[in-house]
Amino acid sequence: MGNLYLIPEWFFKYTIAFELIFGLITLIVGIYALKIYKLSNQKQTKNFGIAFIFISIAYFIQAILNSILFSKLYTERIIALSTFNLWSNIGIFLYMFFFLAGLITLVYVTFNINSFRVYSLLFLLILGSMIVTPFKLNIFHIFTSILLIYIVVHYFLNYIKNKQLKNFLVLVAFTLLLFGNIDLIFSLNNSIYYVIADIISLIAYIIILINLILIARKK
Amino acid sequence: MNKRRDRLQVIYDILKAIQDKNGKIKPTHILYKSNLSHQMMEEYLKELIEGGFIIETKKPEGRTYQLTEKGFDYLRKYQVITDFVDSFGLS
Repeated sequence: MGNLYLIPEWFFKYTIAFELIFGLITLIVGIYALKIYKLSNQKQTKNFGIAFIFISIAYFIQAILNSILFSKLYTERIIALSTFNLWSNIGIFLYMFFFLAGLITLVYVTFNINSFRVYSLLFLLILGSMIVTPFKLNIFHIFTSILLIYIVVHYFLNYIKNKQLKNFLVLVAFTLLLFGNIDLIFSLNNSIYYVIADIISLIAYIIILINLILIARKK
Repeated sequence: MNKRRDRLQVIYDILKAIQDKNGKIKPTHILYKSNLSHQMMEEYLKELIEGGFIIETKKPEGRTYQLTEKGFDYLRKYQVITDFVDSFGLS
């Protein structure tokens, strides 16, 4: 793996908690979307749910990986570089794979493409680029930022069309996720950016959860 | 109003028309209430039968349609469905 995130030691246990919260919120959104699909038979809500479940899996994988590394550091104080590399490489690759799968599915849904060939082409192009580059995390964040820009533009246009609080909350949440993702690029050189990115993402996911609660409360 | 919302609305109108007729209706009434062409109505009815929202009963005097539990559920949760679809721009 080309790069690793720089995480401050004091923030290690907090980042695991944050990842679990992100995983839980995205899982709730995913399950709720599938529930809406069951009620309405709208194919897009099913794909939207799958997208969020992919993202949820990515966060849970990252949380498990960081928990393993944290427990090893806590119990052994020093861990072999080969052990560290093995766990982090597997974990980061799986994290990137599921996160990209989630975002690509989300772009596919928001663009209403309805072509599996376009979906698979997009997926293979991005995954292929990720495999051959030595700077995997940099490329990963560039791709995810591009995908998020398209998603944010979609939600901006959706808000312009229908100026309601729920649309505004979704727009703000995804804009924050975009900023958090761009911020993570800098965390490859400076650990404080990782903390900032996690806090921005936490606010974004809380906004998404609030929006979902507001919708679900209506009977 | 977007295309998806229109579709959700049409489904709502059809199911509501059936509910308003005490859960049983003839296709001519659906045609009148939903404001669709005959071909479009048949397509929606086929989709709603396949989706388990309604059931069709064929008798010598003609066809009738009844709501299933899923159909009633759709009417009860319609606001939640459209709010979710609208807020995430799933059109």
